[in-house]
Amino acid sequence: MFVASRAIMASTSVEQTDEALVEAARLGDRAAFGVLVERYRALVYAFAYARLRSREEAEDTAQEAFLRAYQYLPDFRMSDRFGGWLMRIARNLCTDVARRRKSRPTEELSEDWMDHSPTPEMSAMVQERRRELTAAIDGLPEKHQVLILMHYGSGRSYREMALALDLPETTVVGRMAAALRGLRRRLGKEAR
Amino acid sequence: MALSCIWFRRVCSRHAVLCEPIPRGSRLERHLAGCAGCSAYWTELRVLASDLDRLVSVPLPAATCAEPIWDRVRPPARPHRRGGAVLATACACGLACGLAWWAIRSYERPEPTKVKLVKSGPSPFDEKMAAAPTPVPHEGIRENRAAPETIRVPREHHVKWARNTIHFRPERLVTRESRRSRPAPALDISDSPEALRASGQTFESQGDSGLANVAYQAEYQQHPSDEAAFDVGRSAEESGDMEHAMNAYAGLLDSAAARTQPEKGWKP
Repeated sequence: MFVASRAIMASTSVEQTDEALVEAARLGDRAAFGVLVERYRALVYAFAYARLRSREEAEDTAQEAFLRAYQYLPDFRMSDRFGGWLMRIARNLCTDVARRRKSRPTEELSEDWMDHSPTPEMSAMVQERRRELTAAIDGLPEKHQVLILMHYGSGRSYREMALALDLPETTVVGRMAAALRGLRRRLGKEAR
Repeated sequence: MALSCIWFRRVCSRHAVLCEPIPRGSRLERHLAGCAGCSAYWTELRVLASDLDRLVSVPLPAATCAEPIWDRVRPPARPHRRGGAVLATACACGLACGLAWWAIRSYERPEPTKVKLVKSGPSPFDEKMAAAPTPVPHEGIRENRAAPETIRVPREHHVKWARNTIHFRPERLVTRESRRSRPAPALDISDSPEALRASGQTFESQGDSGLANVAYQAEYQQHPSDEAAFDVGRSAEESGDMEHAMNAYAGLLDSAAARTQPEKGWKP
């Protein structure tokens, strides 16, 4: 986890480390915390959406996660990684939200995908394929759904996913391979 | 499906997930070249990964998603359990002070024992000995030797019989190591009786009763006296040689009885 956090930190900012920003934010520097929010917002939102499958709930959860992180910054131990700590807050919040609601919404995935189909027939085929994929993803276990949505839907790297899920990167890759095999099996069953 | 196919398909899925090509010349490539089922599987997985990458997308968060955070932000919370932390700190400080006090006390040098000097008289045994008549050497010896000179033991080596009195002998306070390292005084039994007595007293004050006994015996051999006999007995008793001590005391009593009792037999 630390390796993943450090790698993200290095890739997203070369000027200031998370630790320096956290230290500044502790002293009341809102701009420093704003940099942290900007750095981790996409990851927190991607994880929240993958868990909750609702844009509004994911946004609210991401906001709540940052709010709690800011409020409890004095409790943050500098020996920990801020990314891991923040994602732990996000995971707990998502678990609370998912537990509170009775049934799981089946919100359609985004329609913002790029369709460069030259003909209406091709467009219809693509749409059909997309519907199949969505149905197959919904049939997967939640841990596989989260991985597929974070990686293919939000474009998160395996390192970021490892940080978000508090798992080793190799485990994330292995789970993703299992998710792909399961998805292929489901698509094959639906095709038959 | 062969077991090797199952294993190769698992490897294929990892390559598809990581978007890596099949390594050239690898066993997997040779297997895919010879196995139509696995080759089709590999193609399916690549198509599936491509479709997922192309068709699955997550709605982007609103651009203003992060802004409302600052409307809800309150000043950073004071660390809860602050009272507990203060209490724990106070307890830790108290404990540290207690430990420091204990450590200082334990490292303090003990005060020297205060000796209450009480002016006291000689012991009952000394009184008894003083009341006894002056030792008279044997007739045969009297001719050759001078009258015994009474050598008194220095006063600080007297046993005090007064109440609440501790016999303070500074030599006892030296450590055993320093005592061992101190060079032992040489004992020459050809010394004068006074020198032998002084040596015996020194050995005795150093706790070496055996050597003191030797010195007193040498003194007694050179200059027999009741005092020397008593010292021989006392030092032998202190060194644990009870038989020798009893002999010395018996001899002392015999000589005292011979002096005090009238001569047997009728004399006109």
